[in-house]
Amino acid sequence: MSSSLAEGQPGRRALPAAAAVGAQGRPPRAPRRWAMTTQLTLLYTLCTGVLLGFASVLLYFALERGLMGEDRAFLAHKMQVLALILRRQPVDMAGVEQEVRDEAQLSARSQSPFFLRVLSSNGRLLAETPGMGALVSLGVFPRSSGTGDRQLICRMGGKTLLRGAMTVPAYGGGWTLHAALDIDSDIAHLHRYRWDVIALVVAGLLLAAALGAWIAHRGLRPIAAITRTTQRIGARHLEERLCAEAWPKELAALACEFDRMLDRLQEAFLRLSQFSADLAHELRTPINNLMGETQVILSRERTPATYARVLQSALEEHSRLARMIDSMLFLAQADQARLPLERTRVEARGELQAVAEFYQALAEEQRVALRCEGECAVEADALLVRRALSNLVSNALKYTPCGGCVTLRAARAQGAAVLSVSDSGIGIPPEHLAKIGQRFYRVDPARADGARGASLGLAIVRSIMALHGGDLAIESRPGAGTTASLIFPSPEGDSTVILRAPARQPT
Amino acid sequence: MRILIVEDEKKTAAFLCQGLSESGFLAEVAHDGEEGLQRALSRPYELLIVDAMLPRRDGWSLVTELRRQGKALPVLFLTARSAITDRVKGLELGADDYLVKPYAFVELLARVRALLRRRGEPITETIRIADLHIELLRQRAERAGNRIELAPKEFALLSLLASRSGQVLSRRVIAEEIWDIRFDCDSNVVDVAVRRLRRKIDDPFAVKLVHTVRGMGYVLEPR
Repeated sequence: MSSSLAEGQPGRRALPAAAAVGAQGRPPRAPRRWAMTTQLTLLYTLCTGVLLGFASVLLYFALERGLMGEDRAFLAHKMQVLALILRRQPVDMAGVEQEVRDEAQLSARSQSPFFLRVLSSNGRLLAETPGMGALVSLGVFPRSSGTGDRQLICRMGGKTLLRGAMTVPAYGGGWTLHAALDIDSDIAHLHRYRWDVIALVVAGLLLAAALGAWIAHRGLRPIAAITRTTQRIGARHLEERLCAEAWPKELAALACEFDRMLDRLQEAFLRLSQFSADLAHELRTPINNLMGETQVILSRERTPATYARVLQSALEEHSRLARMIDSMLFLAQADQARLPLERTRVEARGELQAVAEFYQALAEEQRVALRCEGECAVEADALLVRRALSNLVSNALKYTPCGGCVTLRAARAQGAAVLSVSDSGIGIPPEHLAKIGQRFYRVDPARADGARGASLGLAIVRSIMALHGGDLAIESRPGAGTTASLIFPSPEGDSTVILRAPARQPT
Repeated sequence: MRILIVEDEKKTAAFLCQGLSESGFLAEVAHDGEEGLQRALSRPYELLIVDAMLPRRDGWSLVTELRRQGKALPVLFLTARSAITDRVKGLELGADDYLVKPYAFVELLARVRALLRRRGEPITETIRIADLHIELLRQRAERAGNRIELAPKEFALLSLLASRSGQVLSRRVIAEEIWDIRFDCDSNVVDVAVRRLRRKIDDPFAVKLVHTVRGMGYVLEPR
């Protein structure tokens, strides 16, 4: 009965990803449950047992009622015939005795012998089937006997009898009829039937158990198959998917959900790998500069002024590294939702103006007009909002040519507060638009402008918006300009999003 | 002014000690938490610089014990982790300020001076440096007797540099003090602002007051 699946316990032989949780992260083992095959088999067997048992009991009682009904009708009929003869005028006692004798002969040949007795109204025995007196005494019949429809089962002299009585009224007295039928053969019949039924139910149960086990095993085979496929998927084969095979309808949904989870995992995995590679690359440049410059300068004696110049240059590289580490730490903490948000009601206009004021001088130098428009209130962390806006404005100014303009706008749209920064700059080609918020992503790799950009600015904006349960939307038309919008959903809507972010362990 | 540096990392302790000494402080170093606590309790220091992770007794425990024993001297916390919880913990336990590694030395110097200044320095109303004269309350600046027209933020920047004359102020500190921009931003906004200030305050005059310290920030002093 136990299939490989039942013994295999797919949950225990966990996915490779779960195995990476490690020794201390192992979740508490759930209490052991019965294998599904066993459960299903037991349920099948139970259902079959209930149905078979019910049907058998019903049939048994039907048979019993049928047999007894026949016997009763037979007995009633015999008494009716006698009554008919008795009622004949003039009274033909000889005929009655003849009838009783004939019936006795008939009864002797029958499998179920029956007995008849005729009494006068004062209780004198007029005629009886031979042997009846020994078997059924007079006393067991009640005196007033009625119509003969009420018949009782009793045991006498080692036999089971069905007995009845009937009063035949007549002018000047009348008669009482006694009748009894030996129903031993019927009882034996029912007895045999009972054992047959029990045997049938037991056999049915065994068969149902065997069939049930087979059906369960067969039905659960796709799960075993899914488990095997899942086991194949590891970090090296993350591109494998379950949906490629034809699963039964019920499992197809599971397989698709599983695939979707794998998609997300693969994406996160690739992004992480890419991030590490980019990080290493970004670190290589400043460290390379530091090492090279220092080695060259130490190769011979220099003037103090030269040493000072090299140290200053080194300091610039160090600041760049420090800034990058700062940004990375921020991103890492935001990813793990470990940055506590200090949400307050923020008047967006004030924030727009503060940021605009900060960039005013720079914008004037570049001959770019900086404007603020609109107002609305946002439930958010003021410092983070300012940081996001500042990154957007800094970006906008970088890509807006002389004579252009940058507009900071606050508005409400469909229940959400939207803070946007529009520029009349060079725009972003559509193929870059989707990747623009990714860490270290640059539209133009050659524009990696030295100490300025670690190109984490937009990634930080994205993280800030994720922390608020909001979103960063970027629209752009090459040559016409770009609009980056911070979308803060209404407070009722986003509280759930914040709760959703799990507190993960640092990796 | 005596400052005790409690830091187990030798190189860090050495540059802090040298930097502070050269800035006119009497700096001493303790290499673990227990030694730091004993010295802070037994000798008169004006300021403590404490690393969070220390052998024998960590920085938080040191500060807690110090406060329990009734020592009220200001404590500047250094922590490698920028987890906000660490900061909050440090401040709750009685530290007065904190810095997250990596930090610029000029910033540390600025914080040290701010902490020491907090303890009752007279509020000045006028500042005089060479021929520069600033009236803080009336928001007026003059150089060699000529009134200089400054926008409010320009005046704030000049006041900041002048009030900490001789100290190098990093771009970050300037952005924080003038525009309340309390995070690192990839921009040369501060450079532009200082350039504009110089145009008004220095360009017309022979003696320059605002100087760039490459890789560190800006300083206002007569040279």
